Amino acid sequence: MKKYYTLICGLIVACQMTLPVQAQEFLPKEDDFYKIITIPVPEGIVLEAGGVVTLPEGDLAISTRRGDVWIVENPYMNDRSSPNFRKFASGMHECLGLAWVEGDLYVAQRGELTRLRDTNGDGRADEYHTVYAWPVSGHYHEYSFGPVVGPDGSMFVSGNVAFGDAEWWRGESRVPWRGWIMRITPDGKMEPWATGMRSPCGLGIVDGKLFYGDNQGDWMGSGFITVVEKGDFTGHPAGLTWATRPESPVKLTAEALYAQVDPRFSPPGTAIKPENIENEVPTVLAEVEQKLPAIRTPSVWLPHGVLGISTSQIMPDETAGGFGPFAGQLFVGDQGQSKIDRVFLEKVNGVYQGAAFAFREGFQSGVLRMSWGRDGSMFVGQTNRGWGSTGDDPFGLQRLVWTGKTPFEMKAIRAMPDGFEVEFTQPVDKKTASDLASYEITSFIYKYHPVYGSPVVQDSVLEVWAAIVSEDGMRVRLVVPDIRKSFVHEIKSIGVRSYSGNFPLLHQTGYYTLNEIPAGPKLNVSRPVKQAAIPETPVMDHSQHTAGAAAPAAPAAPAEAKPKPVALGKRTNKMPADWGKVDQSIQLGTQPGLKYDKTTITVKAGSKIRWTFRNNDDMPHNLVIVKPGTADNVAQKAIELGLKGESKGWVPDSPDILFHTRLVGPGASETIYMIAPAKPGTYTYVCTFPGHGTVMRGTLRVE
Amino acid sequence: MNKATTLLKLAVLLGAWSLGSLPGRGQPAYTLVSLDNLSFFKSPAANWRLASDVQVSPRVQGDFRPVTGTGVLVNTPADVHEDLFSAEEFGDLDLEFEFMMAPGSNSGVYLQGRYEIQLLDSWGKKNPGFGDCGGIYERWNDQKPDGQKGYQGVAPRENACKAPGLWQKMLISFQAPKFDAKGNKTANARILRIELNGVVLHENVELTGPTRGAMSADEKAMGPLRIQGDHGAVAFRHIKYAHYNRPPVTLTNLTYSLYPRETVDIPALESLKPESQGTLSALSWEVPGLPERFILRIMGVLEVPVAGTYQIEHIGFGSSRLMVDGKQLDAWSWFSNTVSAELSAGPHQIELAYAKYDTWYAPGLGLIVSGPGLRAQSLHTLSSIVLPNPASAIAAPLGYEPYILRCFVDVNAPREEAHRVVHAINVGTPGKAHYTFNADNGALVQAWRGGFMDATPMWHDRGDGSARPVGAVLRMSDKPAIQPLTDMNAPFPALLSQDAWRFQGYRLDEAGYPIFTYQVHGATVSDRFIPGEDGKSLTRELTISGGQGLYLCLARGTDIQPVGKPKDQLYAVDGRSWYLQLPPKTTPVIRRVAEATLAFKNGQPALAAGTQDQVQELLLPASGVIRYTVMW
Repeated sequence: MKKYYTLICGLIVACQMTLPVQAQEFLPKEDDFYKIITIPVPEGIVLEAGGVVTLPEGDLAISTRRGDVWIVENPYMNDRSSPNFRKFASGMHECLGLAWVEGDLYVAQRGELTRLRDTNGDGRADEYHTVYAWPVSGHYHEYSFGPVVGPDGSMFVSGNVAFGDAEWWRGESRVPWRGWIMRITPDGKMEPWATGMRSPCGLGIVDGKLFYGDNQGDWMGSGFITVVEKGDFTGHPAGLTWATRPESPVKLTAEALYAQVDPRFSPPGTAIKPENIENEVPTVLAEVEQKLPAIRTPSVWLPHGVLGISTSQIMPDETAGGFGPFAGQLFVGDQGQSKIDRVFLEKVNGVYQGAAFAFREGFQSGVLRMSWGRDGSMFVGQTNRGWGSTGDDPFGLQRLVWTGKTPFEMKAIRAMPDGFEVEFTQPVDKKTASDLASYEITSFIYKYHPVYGSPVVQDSVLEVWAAIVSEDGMRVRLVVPDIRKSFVHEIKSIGVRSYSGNFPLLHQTGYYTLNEIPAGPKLNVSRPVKQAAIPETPVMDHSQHTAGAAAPAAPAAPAEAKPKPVALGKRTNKMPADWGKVDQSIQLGTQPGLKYDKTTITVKAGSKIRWTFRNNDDMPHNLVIVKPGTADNVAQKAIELGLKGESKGWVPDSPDILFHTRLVGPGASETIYMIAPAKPGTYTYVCTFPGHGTVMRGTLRVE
Repeated sequence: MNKATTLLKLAVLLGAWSLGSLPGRGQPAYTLVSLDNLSFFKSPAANWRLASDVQVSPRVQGDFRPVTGTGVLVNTPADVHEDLFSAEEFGDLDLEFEFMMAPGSNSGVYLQGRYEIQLLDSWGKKNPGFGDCGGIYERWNDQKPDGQKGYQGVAPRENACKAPGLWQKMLISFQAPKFDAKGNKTANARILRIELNGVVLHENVELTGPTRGAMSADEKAMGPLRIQGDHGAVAFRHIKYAHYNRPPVTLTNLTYSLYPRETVDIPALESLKPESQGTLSALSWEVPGLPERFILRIMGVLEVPVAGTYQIEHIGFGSSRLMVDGKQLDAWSWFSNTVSAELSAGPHQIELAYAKYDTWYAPGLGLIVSGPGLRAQSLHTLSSIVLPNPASAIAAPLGYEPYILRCFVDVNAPREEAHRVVHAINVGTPGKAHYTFNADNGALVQAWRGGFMDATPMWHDRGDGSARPVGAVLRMSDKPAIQPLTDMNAPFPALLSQDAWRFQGYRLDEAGYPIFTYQVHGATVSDRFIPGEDGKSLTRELTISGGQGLYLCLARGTDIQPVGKPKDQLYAVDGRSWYLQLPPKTTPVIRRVAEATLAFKNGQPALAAGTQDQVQELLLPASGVIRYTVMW
């Protein structure tokens, strides 16, 4: 009888364990719709892709940080034959862009725009023509990007800022046109185009206009993409040093800007890095723009940590459906998180704005450049250049192929006079789509200040008054009377199901940057009766799983005759008074490229530990100690914190987390006190900052 | 992409500091051997004498023509061909000297008369062995069968040898064998380091015994410096040495007091009550219960065997301060500082205070004492200062084709501030003569033989965009090559206005060598470099059309001296550091002018106010086809 009972218990446990997993397997995944195919790179070739362009004959040309241009023949690997790598050019200075113009390849080196030509037909460049050479000071961060080719055949290249010597965090423009975008004609005439750039790695031509992307940094609250018209200023003041020159189309002066926003320069003889001021009245870029119209606010913000951390290329979908349902939309790469976002762009009152969505993650290295193949697939050139990326290969080349299946997605979000209209790729289940509880809308913005990055500020949950589903089920009109001009609107459609299959959305969140609110008639909708509370997230939404709460409680200490230690908080910064001393002190630092400086740390079970985590990297990290085998899950939960991540230090609520630090900024440290797990085993410490969790890990061996 | 890392900054600091502190790399207190007479040497034979200079035609075997005077030690072996010995005997020794080989000549420096560092005319030799210039010569055992008699010779890492007739520089850091009181050897002799023309040839090589041709088969704590004089003509000058003949100092009776520290200000220690105290067996920051921020005060007794002036470097990752016998020798110093202290023989009270407020780097604490007769001696434990490992090297490899590498290049040319060439084009040739062309001004900045470039600084991690030449670098001038000159007494313009210069790129010839094209002051120039045989030279060919009153500066240096007959058109440039070969029947302008030092800011040149250097220049009118050869 007892045996029988055990068997049944075992079955129940097994069912409990397997059932949710099976259910999850039915959930559509990105991979069901877009497959990543890795193109094998021959051993010995360091293909740190800085530029990728498809040639008319279908081959790929790839420029690299090592200064080479490779022609990849047969990148489609038809008939399963290998691609062939042919070196077309070499020896250039860190080529971070490539374009094909009327039979010639153009490449930006650190210090010049170069035209490559094969004049004797042997398949190798023998003419390296300097189209235009620009000054550089020799600072490591002075990378140059491009070119992208405008409709008139002129080319745009962009240049990173350098950093200060004493004020090592402050972007500065040491020589003309660093922190600028330059327009260069094929015959070598250069025209300074716009400034305000800090790290303008991402360029693209959209709708015949130049677009550029930047990422979080000093004066940059978050990543974004924006149109750049001649004379624009996009936010970083370094390049304004040269705005007083007669050839500058930018008429804003640094003085005028600093009169609006305190640059917080260090007093003479000191170097004090400005930090975020809590509880101040924040200054935002759109506000300053009211007084200084040369400012160009982002067309579309890409919230930092959520939709990437380092914006790269901007590429419109020109496949006319060959790549799936997003023709005409933009794809935006992200190096640090090894993924690609999707942007729906529209023009309201003559101003570009739109919605950004997650699209595809899981690339092998940092996504830097994309190019359309001749068959409507997308080639993705990658590198992590010593910065580290979620995909932990140092470089790579992959192809993203549409499977022909249409994912259930918010295809577009359009601004309406009284809210938004969400367009879907497939008909919705009208019941869930018209349920107000299926939506959560939060508006927020970032600070404009000399500090590195910004918290989410002025965030406010907006009430949805109505969700009106169109006859064909393809659109939902969300009436949100409190939408705020110049704010980002996080639109979560968490409860919406597809008509066919009753699936949740593949990506449930869009971020709409509302630069302008369109005029026009508003719907005559009355405010709904106040609901009790926003219901808990539906079960199927894997991003909101709190199922871990049902998991068995933390393992109890072994029943030994030892006094039970006083329970510690998960983040204890002061030595507990009853300890007297610690048994072991651990010093853990970081190394560039998403690494802790120790990969294994051994502790005695149940011992008292003082653990100091020093972040000597230039980006924020945390230290989260988790139960065996749970690091993936915890890292995923951290990503799903989304906008709440920043305030929680990217530490999710999870019983799998044993101890953790706060988010430790560059140059800072934190000491926590913990009692090592009583149960010997292999635990993991991990940085759960989005994009870091898959690679930045170490093993905590408990003996 | 993100910003400069504080880690990088510290690593740079650590790197720079550790380089400076290694034996032989700092500036030891050298004694210069006077070459006004031969009194440093013991009964020199007639083949050794003094001269003021030596003239050598590099391609004439054995050519060696001393000029009457003093300052240069020459050996012209004939019937008399004796070795030269110092009168004084040496143990541990740092030795630096310049030497010049006659074509095909052979000499050597024997440390303690027993361990030979070979000097040879190895110019252009592809795979140098232990018997080539800079090699540690082999040992010899007559008991062994033929073919096995010689052993343990150590080849130099590369051939850093220059042409005969040019001055070359060698640095040797030597540690003598050690013996106990009974005279038993307790440690082998050791070559700590040898550099030839700025290239490291050896590091930490143990010498198990005297090399072939030693003055004696035994080994001693002391021995004379000996220069081989029986093989061929050779000259020496600027011989400097530091003899380390003092017993080491000791640091004992170490106690510490630990103070918590929560503010940036460093308070007067006297006003604080220590949190804990204890004793230490050796100098280290590793005391029990060290918090994140602290002040550590370490007291001890420094036993000084010999009175004298000592240099004491105190290192604290953070800040540190040193007191000797209750006297404060400097203020709190960030990272490290070296103080000079006059110390009598006997015990001295030392107080080393170490304050650490920043928390993002690990602690480090050290004390290094050096002085006349005392080689830099670390008094801290090995674990008290842990330096980061260097990165795995990434070479720009040279194959069968020319290798062009564009990158930032840091140069340190004579009469110029150290600076970064930001539009450098480096060309590596399979013949192993490589050069840097500056695409901002047309200057041939430098040339070298050996490996091509170490691209680690550019390609490791984020990199800094720069690569370094591998090999002995001949540094020339980073001033614009072609400029107008209206007054022949005026200096050659050092700055090039933006609109006077337009670089247009290069195309590759059949062999893959670049042909640069550019416009300068209205002239259109096509410019190429052809490597000479065995990588011994580079020939530059410029084709210049247009432009008015322009001159090309071919050579610039302290002096430019004709070598051989006037029709040879061969010149030794810049203190005999390289040769300039002109085509026959060329009539150059050779002149002497005063020039301001070239300064740099943000990668852009500027004239430094103040200093004027007397330089000699060799110019040609810049038109038509000009060919010249740089040989070194």
